[in-house]
Amino acid sequence: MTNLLKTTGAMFFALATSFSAVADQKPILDVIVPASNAGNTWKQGVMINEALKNLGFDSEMVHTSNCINNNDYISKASRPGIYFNTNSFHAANMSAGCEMKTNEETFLAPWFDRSQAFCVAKEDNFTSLEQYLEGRKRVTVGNTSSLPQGLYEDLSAQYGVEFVRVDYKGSSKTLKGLLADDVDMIYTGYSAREVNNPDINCFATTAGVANTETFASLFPNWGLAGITEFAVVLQVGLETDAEKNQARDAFLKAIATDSKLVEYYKSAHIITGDTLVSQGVGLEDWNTKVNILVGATK
Amino acid sequence: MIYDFIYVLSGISLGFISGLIPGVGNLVTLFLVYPFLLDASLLQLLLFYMAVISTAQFSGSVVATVFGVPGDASSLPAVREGKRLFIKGEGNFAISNAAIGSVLGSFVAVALVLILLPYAVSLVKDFYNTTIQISILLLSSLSVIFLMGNSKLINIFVFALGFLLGMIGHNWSPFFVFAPEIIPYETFPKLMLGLPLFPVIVSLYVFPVLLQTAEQFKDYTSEKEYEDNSTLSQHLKKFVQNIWSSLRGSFIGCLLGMIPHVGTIVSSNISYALERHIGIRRKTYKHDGDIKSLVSAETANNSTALMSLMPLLLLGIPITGSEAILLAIIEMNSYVINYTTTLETDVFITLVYWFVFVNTVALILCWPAVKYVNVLQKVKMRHLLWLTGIVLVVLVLYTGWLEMNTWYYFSIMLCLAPLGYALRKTEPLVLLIAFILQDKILSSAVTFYQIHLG
Repeated sequence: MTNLLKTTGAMFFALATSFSAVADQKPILDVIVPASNAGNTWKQGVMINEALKNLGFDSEMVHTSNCINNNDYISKASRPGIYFNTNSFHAANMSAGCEMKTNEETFLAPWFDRSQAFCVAKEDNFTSLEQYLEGRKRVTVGNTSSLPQGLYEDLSAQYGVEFVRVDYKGSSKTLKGLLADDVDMIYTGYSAREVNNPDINCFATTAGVANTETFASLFPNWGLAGITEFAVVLQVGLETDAEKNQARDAFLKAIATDSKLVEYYKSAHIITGDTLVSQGVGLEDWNTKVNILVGATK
Repeated sequence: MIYDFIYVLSGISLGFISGLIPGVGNLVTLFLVYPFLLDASLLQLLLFYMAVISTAQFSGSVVATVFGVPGDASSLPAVREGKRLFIKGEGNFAISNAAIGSVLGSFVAVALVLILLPYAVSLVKDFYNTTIQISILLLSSLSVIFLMGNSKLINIFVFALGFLLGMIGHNWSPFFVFAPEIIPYETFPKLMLGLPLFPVIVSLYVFPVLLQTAEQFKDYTSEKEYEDNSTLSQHLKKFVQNIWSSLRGSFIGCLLGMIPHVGTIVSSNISYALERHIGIRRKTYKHDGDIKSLVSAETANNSTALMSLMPLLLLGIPITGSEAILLAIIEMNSYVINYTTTLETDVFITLVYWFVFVNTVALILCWPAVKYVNVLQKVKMRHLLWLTGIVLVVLVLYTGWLEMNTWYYFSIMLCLAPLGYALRKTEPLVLLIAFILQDKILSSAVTFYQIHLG
């Protein structure tokens, strides 16, 4: 009788532990960030990581900081994860000799499409570009250093004023350069940082969001008037279509429903992946935008 | 709060020990304890660092006074006057007055910071102006070249070498890859990211410094042991006699502390020179050991400790080797440091108040510990240096492992070690500073050129 009790107890324990082990198995999806941990990408990565956890995923943050380390990590990654690439980041990395493979195999979903913007300091009392440029022979324009050469040649030709390119290491420093009176205006991503800054006036954006003029109307001859910051989500370690679909759905749900993410994207007038998917935007469109930038870089 | 206190106490203890090892000090201490700082918040990291540098100044002056060995060029007044005072039996007053003066210096620095605080944000925003940045960077480069080491020509060469090493890899502003036809980027793609900081520090800074320290202690023999039979009131009475020297040192330390890289060296030596000059003019200077000059120089040191942190706290620009390590740890812990995360939050003001506490507690804890300094005379410095070197090599491997690049870090360290050996007769801080600032100097120069001449 004692033996029977012991055997039954052991079986019960074994069953209970195996059931609880199965019940504890959450799908794994790490958030890998191949960019600085001081910028917008990291900030969004942290919010996405939290949102994925709330959706029942076992998710950790992995900071690879750049393309080379990211490729290295991807080649050895033991856990499934998602990471990010944007058209401008890709073009810059290509010219630096590193490519984050963005193809049918790695592509999971579009992440966001964000306008670029031209901004001036609020104290300049900007009313129109014509008025602003009147009497000037040169205008200094701050931008991130990785953008193609000859970026503003079309604009100089259109207005007869020299648009002098001034390079900064990153968009955060570009904005600080404007605030410190280094440059007359900046060409930068229209993120929450720019939208919420009370000391600057962004007068034109790619898509004309927030009552700004569109680049196309202001600079009709500009070859890069249609360029936006187009980001995609890539995956590593998701073997089957079912796993990929589960991750894709969770990611799109996260950016469409998580309150912090929704607020972040709404405040910066950013079109998110769920909307882009419904518009049929995908990998082909990303490739097109990359090619424009890579072509301009060459 | 309790955890913040633990970090402060740990910083004080380790700072005290690090000050006792001449030449290596704060930078190595930070590196040695890095694995224990991985979970620290930004405030805790800064508190720990502040406690280390403040206390190390104190114990560094003890070593300079008792052993006559300068930790760095800022300890030269302590070596000159402290050693003479020690020989004539007044070493206890030299140490106590320097320590009390250091606390007073920290109070003056805090007062000055609090006065300037309301204007700080607008001042700092202007500091982002490229013209100002390039001026600061030029001033720092020229300071290290012309004020450190023995030969300006060698300094220029070493600075250029550090700058070139810093350029290896892909540079973002201007956007280019350095010397692709010479450097084997295809064989070692990681080189594209530049040489990693930790192996560079160990091979090109710590290694030559350890060799220099070993050389300093080669012929060291102890003649006299430290002893203190005076009461607390006697020490305080003595300090009151020197309080004006201490106050003069405090103000000089605050003013000159902002000079990048050499703030402590310049402020302590200028305070010393001024006090000596006043003493000679008033015919009060004592040629067999002048405590007023010593107190002024040591007070200036501690005023500078807070002021020299400002560029890091407000702009994220490290201006000493140990600050560069601190910045690397801050970034590895996923924190950002500039005025938005310090001044526009409670971090800055909390840190300022803790600074007073750190200096007071350091005095209370470390002063009684000074009597054990004689134990150091029995320790073989060569063994201590070997042990430090071995631990540092292990830590390079560990940081490499954390970055998923163990063998890469180890290889870089090995490849640079012969160069570090060759640098043992130079001032290795010159190379390290050039390496750290290369990126900022180059990008600021390009931006400046584009704005004004492009």
